[in-house]
Amino acid sequence: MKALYIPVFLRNPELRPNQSHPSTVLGAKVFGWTALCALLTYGTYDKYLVPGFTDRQRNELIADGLAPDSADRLAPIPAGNKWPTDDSDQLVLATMGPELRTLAAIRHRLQFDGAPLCGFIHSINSSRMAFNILQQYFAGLREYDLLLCSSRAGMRTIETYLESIDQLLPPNVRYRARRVLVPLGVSIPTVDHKDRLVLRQRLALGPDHTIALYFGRLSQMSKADLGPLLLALSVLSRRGTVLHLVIAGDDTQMNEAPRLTALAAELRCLTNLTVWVNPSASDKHLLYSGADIFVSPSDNIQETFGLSVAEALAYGLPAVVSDWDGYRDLVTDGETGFLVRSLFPPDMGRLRLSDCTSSIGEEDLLAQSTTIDFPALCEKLEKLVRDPALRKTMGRAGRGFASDRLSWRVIVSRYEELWQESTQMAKIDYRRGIVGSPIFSFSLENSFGHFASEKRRSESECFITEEGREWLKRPDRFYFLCPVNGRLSPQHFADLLGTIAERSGITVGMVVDLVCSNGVRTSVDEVHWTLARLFKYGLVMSPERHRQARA
Amino acid sequence: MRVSGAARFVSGPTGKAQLEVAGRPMFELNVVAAFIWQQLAGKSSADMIVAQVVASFGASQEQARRDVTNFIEILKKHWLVFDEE
Repeated sequence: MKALYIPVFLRNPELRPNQSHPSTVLGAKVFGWTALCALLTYGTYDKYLVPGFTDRQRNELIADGLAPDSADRLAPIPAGNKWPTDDSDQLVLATMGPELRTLAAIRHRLQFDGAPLCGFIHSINSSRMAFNILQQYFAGLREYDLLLCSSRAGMRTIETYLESIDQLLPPNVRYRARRVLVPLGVSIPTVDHKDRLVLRQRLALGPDHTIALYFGRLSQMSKADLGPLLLALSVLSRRGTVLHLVIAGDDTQMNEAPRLTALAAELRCLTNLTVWVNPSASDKHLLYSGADIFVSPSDNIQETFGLSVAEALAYGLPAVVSDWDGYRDLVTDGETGFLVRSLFPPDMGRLRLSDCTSSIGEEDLLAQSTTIDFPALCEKLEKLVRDPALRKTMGRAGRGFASDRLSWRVIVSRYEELWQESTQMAKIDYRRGIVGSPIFSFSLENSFGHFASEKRRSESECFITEEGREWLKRPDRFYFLCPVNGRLSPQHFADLLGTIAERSGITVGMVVDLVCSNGVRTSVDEVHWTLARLFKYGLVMSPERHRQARA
Repeated sequence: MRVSGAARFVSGPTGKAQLEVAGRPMFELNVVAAFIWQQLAGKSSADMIVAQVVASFGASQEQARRDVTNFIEILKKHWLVFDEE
């Protein structure tokens, strides 16, 4: 059996803007949701395990747009250590983000040594990401674990983080997970050409009006400064090129819309502009279906891949985008759109990515002083506005690229290929006795051993109390002492308490030896835990308390 | 017979009867099992319950005795029903 473990319960972020308190729609969240849907639609695994998954959550996922058949493929994992898998099963632990450290801890605790881990990078400009990578050096990662990078540029940044960290650590401490380039997936939509007319009616435009669409979060701090795009619109308008620009996207973070409309008014191109904030999923579909050109002058290092560019290609839109990290992997200049040159400022070398809030300020400064070649932006937009045949050719090529290289069917198949490869690598490592990097963990006793008055010793004697004798007569009460995962039954408590009743003064160590040598399949840890519960509930007592009770 | 104080008969979220033990769902009960449990909780003897199952569900005497005895055995095995001391 092949099983995929997904640790978090994911929701559709694009449905949230309709609520009274909308949360920001981030590409990483959109990816998480669509990846979950795609895995459950195209994946060939037998089980998709989610911890604590409930019927209520299943219904929420269906309300968010997951097909009921797909939702039925999700299976809950009960709390505790009991998993619905066997040793012979092929298990992969995946997270939709980069948090391999948490997955490695789960693998270690549950002794799933042969289970590969899989994580994904999204925005990597945060210091949190760099420190996350640093922590992963000590997480017990293996060579067969995977950190999937969505773009070549993103992968290169990860490599530079690793090189910087490697310089600080001894040579035997190395980052173990494989970095593999896999783009984020997109759905290939069905485009209804009637939407072209519907969109123009919604915008009160003529049926042949050319529309350029920017779709993405509206944030000059962490996405793109759209001011130059408005200036381009103004320039084209003055040259007599008729173009309507729609700027659409999440505006819950920065409230950019007033700045953009004010600038457009100042540049006398407001009539050629629609700012469509917080569009719904159906608005988004209408916008992509009805537009003629996609434009995104990203200037921000927060942008690693370009999910909206990939979506635009899938809808068959030619894309005019900045020559920028992930965009470069998606748009082939002159074939599926145009890449517009981008330039960093000459003093970039003094800026640092640090673990403090002022670091964000430096990133912001960088974005503000990054240039997207303005004359080229105007020229490429103008070229596409004036040449419908070129738009059609490029759009068809873009859709073909998205279908062949970015569609979820293709991407899910690639994931499974890599997981299979990693599982084989894990088997080879196991046969060769190769161990992973050390796991950095903290001893609870070292760290917190001084919190309690003292620690019960193995030589401590155990005596049953009057209350304990009463509970032996009513053993159903032991249900209240059982762990949530149901691994231990009331019988365990009754047997242990019975043992102590028969052997008054038996030591903790002897109880453990006796129970574990009885052929009962109970571990030392479980006996210690069970005995501690009996002490905790006053059913067993120590010699001092026993003497006091007798006196 | 005495039923365990740890067990509680509840209607689950889907309307199905459940036996909760120490606050956690343990058994889902069908109509007959739910009826037997409620009779046990009302301190009816096994013989009385058999008669009531025959009367309420139209089961044969043998079938009712078999069902009641089997269910009580399961409950005893799980320490949810005890013979009175």
